[in-house]
Amino acid sequence: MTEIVRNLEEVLDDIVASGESPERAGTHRWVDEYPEYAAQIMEFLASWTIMRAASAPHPAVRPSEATQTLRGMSIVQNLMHEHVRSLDADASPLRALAKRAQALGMDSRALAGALDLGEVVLRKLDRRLIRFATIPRLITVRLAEVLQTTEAAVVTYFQLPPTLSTEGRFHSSKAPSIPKSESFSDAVRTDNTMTDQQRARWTAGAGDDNRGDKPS
Amino acid sequence: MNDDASSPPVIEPLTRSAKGGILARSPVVEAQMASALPLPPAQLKARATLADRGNPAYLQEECLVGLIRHFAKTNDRARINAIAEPLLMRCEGFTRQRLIGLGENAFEDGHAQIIADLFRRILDLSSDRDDFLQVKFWVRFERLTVDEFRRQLRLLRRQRRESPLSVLPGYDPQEGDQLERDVKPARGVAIATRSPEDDYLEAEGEVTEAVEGARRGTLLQEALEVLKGDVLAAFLLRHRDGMQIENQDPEVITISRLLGRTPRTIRTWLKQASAAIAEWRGGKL
Repeated sequence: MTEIVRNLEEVLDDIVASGESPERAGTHRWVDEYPEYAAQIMEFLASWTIMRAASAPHPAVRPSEATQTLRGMSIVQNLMHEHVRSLDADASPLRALAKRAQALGMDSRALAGALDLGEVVLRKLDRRLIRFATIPRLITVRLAEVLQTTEAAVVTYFQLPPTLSTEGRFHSSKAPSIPKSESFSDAVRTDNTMTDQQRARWTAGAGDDNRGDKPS
Repeated sequence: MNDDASSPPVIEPLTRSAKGGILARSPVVEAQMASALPLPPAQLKARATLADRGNPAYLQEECLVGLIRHFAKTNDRARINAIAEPLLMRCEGFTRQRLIGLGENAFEDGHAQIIADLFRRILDLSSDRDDFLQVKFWVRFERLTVDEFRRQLRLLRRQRRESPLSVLPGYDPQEGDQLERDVKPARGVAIATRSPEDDYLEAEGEVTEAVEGARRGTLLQEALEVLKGDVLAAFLLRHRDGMQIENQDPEVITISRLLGRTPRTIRTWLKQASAAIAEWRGGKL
């Protein structure tokens, strides 16, 4: 995969996690290891030193003493509102995998090909009819790449409730129902648009929890 | 997601890459999450409110963050609220201890900023950059608190700059002069105290951020190299943050009040610090 570039936040976390007191945290050690962040590391160590020296001993806050909880909850509520709006906004590109691919110039067949899957499995994935725990991680990684989004967004999408088909036309007097969800392996085994080789690659060693990388 | 009501809840793995590979929650946190996920809000709140770490039903902060993110995916507000409140209480003790020295206002403002930052990170489901909160919550929380502490110090400094020192009750003009004498510039670079020339250049807009940055960098490098503990803290507060040693107005945050030592002790420390830096410079040249 890609080389991991440590961002400043992670470096500063490491310094705190080292468990050393700030002045002993070895400015040299950290600055030598991350010269690109030298100024920020020194600023951080300076502020951390002062904060610790100025810390007052204070017992755990009991519910009756928590003066800031109401204000904090108000902040959380506001952020939840923002979160819901972003959920709506974020979900729209992935409301349908195929549509997202279409927007990027790919049809369902091309998307299935990019994932080395059949179109039937892809449709089931799209409608979240496959249990998340059984979907190989490689699928979420590849989808994120192909659909130009984050893996977290794909994971989130797969964990939303299953949906009805958006393509079907319903003439029955009964309300349409969502089919029972199935495992990824079962979906692959029954997808007649896939070749035997494809099926073998995805089902080799399949268990209940498929979140490992496949195919090899 | 898990579609069968009878089967155990699925806990999504972390995805963030770190130095040693993909981040992972501890088995204890995973077990706590698994046991808490199916609980109704009232029971969830009861468990999240437990403060005794030895209690088998106790839920660690890493677990609470994981649960909030999980419930945020389906916008399960009742459960999020049930967890958020106890988590806020735990955080308040931590931030109070570290920010209260800067004054009640600074603590309240700082705590609110940290909580907003924390929950913005937790609720950002489009990113895994804060998966670390589910691995070592207090490490990242302490770092966020340091950032806020630094911001509050800057705000205090800005407030002082906006008010001429001479109008502050208890301002001692001798103190400033003494500082000029205490800390001599290193190889032409003044540290912390400002010369009339600096004021002129700044007025002309010629003291650039780079020059300020170099000055601060030199100061920090020297101080971190030579000093330790409370002496280092006092020195930085005086020379980096421009804080007064003492002030008769009880509302003014001074080094003496912040560090809980007498002004005399602070002055002694500052002299020791200046001497140590001067000696270090001498040995270096």
